[in-house]
Amino acid sequence: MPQIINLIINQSTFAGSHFKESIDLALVCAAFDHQVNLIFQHDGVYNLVNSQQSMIIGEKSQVDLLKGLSFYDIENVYADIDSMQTRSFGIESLLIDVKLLNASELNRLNQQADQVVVL
Amino acid sequence: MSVLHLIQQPTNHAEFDAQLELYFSDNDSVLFLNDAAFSLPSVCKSQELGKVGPFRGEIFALKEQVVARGLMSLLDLEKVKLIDYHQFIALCLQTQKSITW
Repeated sequence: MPQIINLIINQSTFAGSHFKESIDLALVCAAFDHQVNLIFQHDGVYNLVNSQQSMIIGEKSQVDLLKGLSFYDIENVYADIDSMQTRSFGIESLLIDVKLLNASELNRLNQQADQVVVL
Repeated sequence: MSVLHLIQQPTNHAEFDAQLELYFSDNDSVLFLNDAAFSLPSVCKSQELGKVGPFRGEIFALKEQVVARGLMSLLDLEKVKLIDYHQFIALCLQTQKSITW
């Protein structure tokens, strides 16, 4: 039976394999017809910054991964507006379209989910 | 005595201001390394708001790391000096000691 799965990404871009593993999990969940809500929070919002050129420091690019989410039916991508404001990032700095939510909206989203996963 | 402060973890301008007041002197320099580079848009904003206090030292970041993280257009380059690895070494040699945070 399909479930609503909230996947929270709360670590910065190059902080280990956290981001890649979270996206992998999101893709697997979507492949099994679960509804995935991908939520970027705290330092996780750094993953969304556009104009990234991670190849020049020998890291794999995650731009294609993020841009390809909709091909895997992951349409619900959210970012915590407080995390963005604290870090001085506006919506114009983001790589993909996301829905901005405040703390209470995020809380509600998590209450509605069957599973909330933070790797 | 001049100190080079190497910031390794992301911070925000409130945390940075607190750090400046407590530990940094006027002659010191601050270099944002790795993911700490993500803090620079916020730190630039902090300086605009005049929250930096008495700190008059210079703020540096490695250009390669800034570009990799897509931050070039978000920085005020009058407030943050971008350097390469050779200049990083020169900076280490110019200062009397370094502290990694």
